Parts: sequence; C-alpha cells; structure tokens
Amino acid sequence: MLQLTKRVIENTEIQQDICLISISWDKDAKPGQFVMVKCGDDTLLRRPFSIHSISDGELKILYQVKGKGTKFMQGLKKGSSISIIGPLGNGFTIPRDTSKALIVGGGVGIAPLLFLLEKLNHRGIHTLSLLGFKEKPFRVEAFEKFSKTLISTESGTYGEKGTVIEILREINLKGFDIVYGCGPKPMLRSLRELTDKEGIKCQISLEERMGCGIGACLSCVCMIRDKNGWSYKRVCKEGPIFWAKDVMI
Amino acid sequence: MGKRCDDLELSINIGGKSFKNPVMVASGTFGFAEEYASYMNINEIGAVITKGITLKPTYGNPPPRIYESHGGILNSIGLQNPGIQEFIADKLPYLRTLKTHVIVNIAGKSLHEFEELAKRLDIEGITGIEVNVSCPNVEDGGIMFGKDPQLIEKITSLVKRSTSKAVIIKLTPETVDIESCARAAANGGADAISLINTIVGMAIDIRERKPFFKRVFAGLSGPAIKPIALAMVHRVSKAVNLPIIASGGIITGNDAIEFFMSGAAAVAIGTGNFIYPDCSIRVLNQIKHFLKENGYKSIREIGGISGE
Repeated sequence: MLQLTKRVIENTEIQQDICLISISWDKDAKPGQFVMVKCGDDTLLRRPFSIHSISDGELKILYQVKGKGTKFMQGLKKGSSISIIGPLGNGFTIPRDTSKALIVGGGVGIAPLLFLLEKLNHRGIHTLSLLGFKEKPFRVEAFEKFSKTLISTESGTYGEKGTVIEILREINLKGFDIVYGCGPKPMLRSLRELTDKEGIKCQISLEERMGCGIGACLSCVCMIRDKNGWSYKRVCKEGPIFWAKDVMI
Repeated sequence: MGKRCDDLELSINIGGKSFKNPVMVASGTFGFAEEYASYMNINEIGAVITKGITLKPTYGNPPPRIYESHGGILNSIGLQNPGIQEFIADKLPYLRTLKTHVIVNIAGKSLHEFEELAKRLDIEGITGIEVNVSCPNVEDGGIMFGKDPQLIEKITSLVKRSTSKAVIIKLTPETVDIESCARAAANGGADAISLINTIVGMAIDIRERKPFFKRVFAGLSGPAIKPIALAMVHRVSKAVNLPIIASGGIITGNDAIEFFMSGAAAVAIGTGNFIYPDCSIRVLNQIKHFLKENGYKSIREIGGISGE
C-alpha cells in the first residue's frame, strides 16, 4: 500500500511563506520523485510536493505557501498526522559516464535539486549549483554542504543581480556532462535553449496542475516531442523529470 | 456470529448480468484500472468503468486541465485516450485479468462511430458498454447528443443492435427534461442509465482577465454537485423502470446510501478516486457497515424514501 499516514516531526517557516516540513519516513525514493499530500478537509485534491531530502527516517518537503492547501500545511503542528501517497513519478536519470553536473534552480524550484545533489555527491560526481531567488535566498547552506553554490537575486540584495540564467550565461557549459534544472517556466525555457545550443544533456523537472498523481486522470499533461511529432505525457507518471530537448514549453 | 455478519446480500442485476456489489468506479477517474492496482484490490468492487474510448486516438485538450473549486473540481481533459485499436491491444488484456465486470465507456462523434465502437467491443472480457452522450469537453458529439431525446433513442437502439453486451446510457444533467432523455434511452432498449456526467462550469484567472481553461468551459464534479445528482437520479427513477448507476460527488458510504434511497441501483465513485485511491473500497465497507448497523439484510431493501 502506497497510501500512508505519517507524523509531522518539524514544520518551520524559514522565510516569509517559505516552509520546511519534516515527516516520519521509512521508504527509499529517487531524487526528482514527489509525494501527494492530503491538505485537510477544506481541500479535495491532494497537493504534489517534490521530495527535498530523505535521511535518518525523515522526509523533508520545501514548500511555498500559496493557496488553501499549503496554508493548511503551514499550520501543521509537530506530532500531527498527515496522509501521503508516494513516492511517485520517475525521478532524475544520472547517466553512467557523468563526472561533472550543473544544478540550476529557481525559487522554490530548488526543492528537488537538493536530494539530487546529495545523490550526485554520494556517487562522487563533481557539481556546481546555481540558485536564483526573487529577494532573499533560502536553503543555500544545505546546497553548500555538497557543492560550490552561486546565488542570484532579482533585487540584487544577495549575489549576482538578475535571474539565475544571467549566471548561467557566464558559465562554460562545455565543462559539464549534464545539467539538471527546476524552476519557473521561463527559466526552464532558457535552460533548454542554452543547453541545446551547446549540445549538453539536460533534464528538467516539470510542474502542472495535478489531479490524482498516479496517472489515471490525465490532468497534468505536457507536450513532449516523440517519433510521431509530439504527444501529451503525464507529469505524474512519465515525469515529472523530462529531457529538456523533448519538452515543448 | 461472525458468519452472519457477512450474510449481507449486496449483489445487483444489470442487463441480465449479476454484479457482486453495487460499487463501481466512474469513467475517466480510474484510467484503465491498472493505475490503481497497487492501491487496492480492484476485484473487490462491482465493476470498473473505463476511460472513454474513441474510434481514433484523441490528444485531448491543452493544459491546464484541472481546477479545484469549493467542494468540487473542474476538468477539461477532452477525452484523451489511445483509440479503440490500442485499447483492445494494450489495455484490455489487463482488464481481462480482473475478477470483476468491465464496462467500457465509448464516445462517438457520430451515429456511425457509436455503432462501429460498439461492434468492435463485442468481444470477450467486456460486460457492458457505457455510451457517453454527455461529455462537456469536446467539440463534436458529447453533450450535444445528450440534450436531444430523439438522438439518444437513435444512438441507444443502434448500439443495442450492434452488441450483445449490456448497454448503459450515460446522461448529462445539462437538460431541462432529464425524464425525456431517460425515456428515450429506455425506448431505445437501454439496459441501464448512468447519471450524472459533470455539470458545465468555468473559472476565471482574474489577474490575467482570462478564462482559466483554454476551452473556457469545463466539467464540474465532486461533492459540490451531489445534491443535483441526487435530484436527477430521483427524477429518473420515477420516470423509467431501468437500473440507475448513480455518480456525482460520492465520497463516503453515507453519500452512496442517499443515492440508493433516491432510486439508484448502483453507485460509481469518480472524484473520490483522486482523493483516496481506494475510495471505492472505503465506500463499499461503509455501505456494509450502514446496512448492518441498521438491520438491513440486502442492498435492495434500502431503496425508496418515505414522506413523498
């Protein structure tokens, strides 16, 4: 049974409307996979969240408070129980010959990349992380544990001024075997263009409004190139991780 | 004592076929069943109603395709499905392994397409055909058929002639005269009626000042539509003498009981499957519990309400 009732171990607002919740957890998962959380009785559908990390019997979710569901999450106290389905989705691919990987994250989109970074680090793969934020960075220290981390903020208050794509343009992509990205759609678009131009492999994590999370309802589709031109693929099942070159966004 | 508790009679009959219990899963919310295999024992429910099948593969509508409103969800999937050929080749083999009834939902764009779909599905491993004359999310056919009693009757008799399977007509609530639509299905020779499909709704992105869905309108389902569904089922049960498979916001056993009392022979869980993948099993267990608690021996005893 993949439907689980779990306990909240900790739930903190690390910055205005950005929260980190730890949940008791005893299963393995692949970086890039996600979980569906039932957010109280005032919402119907479960909300999808990337796995931020798994260690020492805890699963961490990094989330932004946006609507009713995440507001409910924010109010969860230590010890309360929540209903979770997961892990779901395909997860990132780490090709065998990878020796250097570049991580590119924007805003709360950095969430699945930390778990990936841990795995890459564990496999002895060299990494560089580029993280972009609107005003104030968060979770940077967690990334710095595993890789050199460059920061940008749109306001210019911390790190480079501008989006993470600005830093990306100054980087020699040829020095990397693969690029992994997660963040807002314009960021993912630029990432696809830049990696395409340089001929570097790139995987991105997509987000779409989800219904069931298990592949049945066909709500969360995105256009993916295939042998017949294109088709709609389910973000929850064939994704959320796709090769950037195939994604039509 | 323990044995007596399990003595409940839950079986029902539709089109001469016996169903072990009256809990089904609604078309479009359960994929082709395999998606749910790791969350529940599918064999425990009365029937699986598949995603709607069209003659040709259908891409469906551009995203976003789902929106949660208060107590309900709007969807605009647009009948995305692999088409009948791939359904038979890739999806039916799994469905055939199930030890429960399989009802295939079909969606034609024309009378001829309904006929063709019904003929090609007159094969082993399928108990019934659910005729979708009520999808609000496609350009051709769908809900347009379901508003016209004459067309409903024509499609029903055509499908009925083309198959040996039980024929179930799924109606839309988007009509002023649901009784006429149900009678038309009965006249056409339907074995049962499914209702309701989703109700037309919309949502607006106020920042962009644009409709949330690219096709503007979408289909509303979930607890928000339950009272409407209940009224429709009740009206239809008075108008025709056919078993009704009721759907519309059934999440709990008590919801289901209300539908049985309003005149339904069976219930189909829809939106509930998205919230709890094993929602249908939960509903089934809660129905059993209600029957036992209240001294009923058979599901057939709870039909009807007093005070009318």
